[in-house]
Amino acid sequence: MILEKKHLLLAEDDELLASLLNYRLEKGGYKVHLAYDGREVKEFLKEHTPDIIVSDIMMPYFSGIEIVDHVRNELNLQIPVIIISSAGNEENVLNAFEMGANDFISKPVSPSELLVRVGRELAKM
Amino acid sequence: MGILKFTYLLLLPLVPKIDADLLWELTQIFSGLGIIYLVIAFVFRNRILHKNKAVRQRKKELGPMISNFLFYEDDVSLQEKYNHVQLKLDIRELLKDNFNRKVLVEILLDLQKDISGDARFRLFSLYKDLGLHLDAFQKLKSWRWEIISQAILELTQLQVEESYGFIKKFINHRKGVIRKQAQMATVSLKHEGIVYFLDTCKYRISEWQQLKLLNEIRNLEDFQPPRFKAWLTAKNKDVVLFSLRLIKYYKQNDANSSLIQLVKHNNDQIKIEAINCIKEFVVFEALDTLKTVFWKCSPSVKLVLLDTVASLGEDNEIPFLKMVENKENNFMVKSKALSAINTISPETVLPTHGIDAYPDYDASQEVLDEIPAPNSKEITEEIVKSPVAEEENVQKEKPLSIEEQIIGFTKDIATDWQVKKEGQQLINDTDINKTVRSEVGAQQELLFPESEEVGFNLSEENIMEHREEIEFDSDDIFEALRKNEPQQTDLTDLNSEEAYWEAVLDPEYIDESIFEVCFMEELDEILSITAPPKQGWAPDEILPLDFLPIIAQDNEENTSVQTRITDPLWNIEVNEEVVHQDELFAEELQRILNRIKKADDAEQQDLTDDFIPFVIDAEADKTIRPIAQSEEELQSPEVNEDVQTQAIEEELEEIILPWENNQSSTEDKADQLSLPDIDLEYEEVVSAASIGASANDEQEALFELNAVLEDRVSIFNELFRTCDAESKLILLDEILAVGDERDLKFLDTLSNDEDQRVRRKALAIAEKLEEYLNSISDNKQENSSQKSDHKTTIEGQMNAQGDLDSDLDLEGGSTEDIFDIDFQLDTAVSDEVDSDASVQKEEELTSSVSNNILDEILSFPAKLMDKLNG
Repeated sequence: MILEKKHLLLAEDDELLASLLNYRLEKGGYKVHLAYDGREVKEFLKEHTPDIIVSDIMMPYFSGIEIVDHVRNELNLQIPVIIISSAGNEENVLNAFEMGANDFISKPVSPSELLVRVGRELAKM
Repeated sequence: MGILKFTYLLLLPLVPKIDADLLWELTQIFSGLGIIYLVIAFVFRNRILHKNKAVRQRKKELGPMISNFLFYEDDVSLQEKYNHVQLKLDIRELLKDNFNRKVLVEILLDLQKDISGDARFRLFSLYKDLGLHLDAFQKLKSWRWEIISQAILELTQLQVEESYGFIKKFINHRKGVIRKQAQMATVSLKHEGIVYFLDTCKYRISEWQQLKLLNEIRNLEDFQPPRFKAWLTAKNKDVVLFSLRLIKYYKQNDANSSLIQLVKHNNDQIKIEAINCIKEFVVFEALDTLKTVFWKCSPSVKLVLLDTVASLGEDNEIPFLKMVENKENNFMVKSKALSAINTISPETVLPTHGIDAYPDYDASQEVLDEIPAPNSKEITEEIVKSPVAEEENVQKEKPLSIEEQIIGFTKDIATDWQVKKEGQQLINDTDINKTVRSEVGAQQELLFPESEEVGFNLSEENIMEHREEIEFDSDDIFEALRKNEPQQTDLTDLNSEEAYWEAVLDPEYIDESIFEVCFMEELDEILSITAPPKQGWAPDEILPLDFLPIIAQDNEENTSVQTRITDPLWNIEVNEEVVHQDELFAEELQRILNRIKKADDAEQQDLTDDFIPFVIDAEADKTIRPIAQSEEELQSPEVNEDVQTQAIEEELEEIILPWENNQSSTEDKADQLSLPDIDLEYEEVVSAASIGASANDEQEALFELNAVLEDRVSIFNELFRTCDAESKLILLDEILAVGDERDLKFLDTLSNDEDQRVRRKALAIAEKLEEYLNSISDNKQENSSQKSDHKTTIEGQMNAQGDLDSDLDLEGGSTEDIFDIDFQLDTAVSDEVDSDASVQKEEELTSSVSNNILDEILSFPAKLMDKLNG
């Protein structure tokens, strides 16, 4: 029995980290779509609807908070959104939660922890 | 332009000649240099861009490979294992190129900042597995400081513990950047690095470096800090300072002696840090050292030192702190010393600067200050002093307003009560005091007109509590009377005692005089009934002033009393509608006021005695009061009594005899009670007070005093006036059961009763009651001698309250107004005035009267309900 992989949109401007997380998430069983800035995220969301979004807060063009706002208020999507934030960026995290983010994880990121959080959010759906 | 042209022509011959060829050649040279500079910049830019692009491209290629190595697990498929082995081979080939090695190092350095957990440890292992740390070791041998620093940083971030031995050599490097980087690496790579660092550090450790080192130590996992007290003896001051901070951070309180010794260090930073440690670890033994070194310290150290003394010190440190406050010139240190004093002993030093001087708060003074009239205090003082010789002067004082007199008099009484309360020697109540207190009684009865279950509260505080209410009521009444009273009465004529008695003894006004006495007695009775016997006073229940029958402001008729015209008390008008709705009452009251208006005011006295008809007794009392001629007399009970009794007799002869010549009816005798009975009952009060004193209960004595004064007339008198013959017969039986000597007089009056049965039974009851009273008198005669010792001392106390209540005697009445009663004359007992009455007889009378008063108080609600029900 072959299970269809969950589609995950990973938005991270750091290519190395994005590559590392991409590798870990794909190894965890997800179909990962990489986006290196906010504009790419919006472009992707015009044509696709992932099962979950993992987005860094600080990104070019559109921040992670704007991505959440876009998903919740413009696209009216109720898919889970996990925010990756830098340590000490509590205010942005709270703003993201107000916009409708489901969870957050702070840098330095533990890839294994992120994998667990993604699975938990998808399990809630 | 002309000037410039002229200047050019003037300077042209002085300009040197330049060879055009040379100029051209220079132009070519500088143009070539510019082009070369641009070419070089362009080339280097392209190289950097190309390199960055290559690095980025290589990172994209190596990134997945690194990820594969980081997350590779053994339980994967064979294909994945094959791929993993293939990647190892590929990366071995790549590592042969230095560029790739550099890119790999950059990738690992970048990733170690962004990832955590197990992946991060794998990354450290990968760094060493790929042999990249060997490159860093080679860099440590470089002669370029930046290479060495970069290598130390790389080894430190990638946690190559093997580099510890190489890096620790750079702790005392002459180059600051390398030295600091080596210190950080030494501390972070191994736990024992801090020990090595503290042992070997020779250079200065900056504050920033200390913070970074402390942060590195805090982040070490499973770090067991050494005992940093070992470095308190280091030669490097910064090592000592850093050790002190570490001691404080890790709370190593096993170096108290060293800390105390370091307080004497010549370095202020070490001193401050040592003092902070002493404060943190509460080293009481250091207090003496702290005080010793204080005077040689800098202000910054003194501040910390004083703060520590404040934290650790007790009261015995206050002298030192006060000395610091006195001797120290630095403002901040002096302030800190004061702060320390207040910390040790709060509120020891109070603010002094910028504090305006005010007198101590005095509640009584506040009361007086709120009263507009200025003479209240003087009057009060004279009343308290009360020398007999100044009696006339006091009487001539400028009259006060109602509020002033109330406040002043109640203050005096409250003072007396306070004296009694504290067990101090009782004051001798002189004549003036009696007079004043009788006035107070009249005034306070104005405050307590309607009685439900209200007790007296004459304390100054209570007066103040209700002062606003009183003011409101007074103003309200004044205003109402001013508007509604068409007929005005000037009472200023009633100031003279002689004039008053002329008016009283005048047959034309005899009815009014009788009415006044009755009115007074009824008021007194009501007030005495409402007074709680022993349970104390009811402070919150002061009756309103609205029962007052006569209060109004005069429009000024008598120009001879200009000073009194300004005082509303001397200009009283009457509004019968306001006073009483009963027309008969109003007519009687108006006749009295008219008579008063006609009286002579040549010798005006206190208005309090005059402006209300029923205060006649107070006036008379003032006239015939015995005078203590000396202090010895005042202090001697027997002498005092004799003097008083003699004075009473003299006064009675002067006043009562002409009165008795003109009076024949029994009812008219009631008027005679006003003057002589006051002093007769004054003696009775003394007896009652002595009983009260034996019980050591001032309120009991006061109550008994009230009872004696208010029961001049039998309580059955009122009942007999309203009941039929059958009821009278029943009441006669009750008289036998509870009657006293007073009731004997009342029974005599029943000899003229219309009903024959009543007359007969009254005679029989009178005989039996007289026998009964005689038997009681014999029994109590034995006890009287023991109680007489206390009589005089209590006398002063009792007069205060007795005079208050002796003026009024009322009994309540109708549905609308408790004072709306049918005023009738009571039976007089004036012929009972006997200056030789024995103390035993007084006690007997007092005792019986007190019992009757209790009965009357208990039955008062029933009586009141009967009256209300018609």
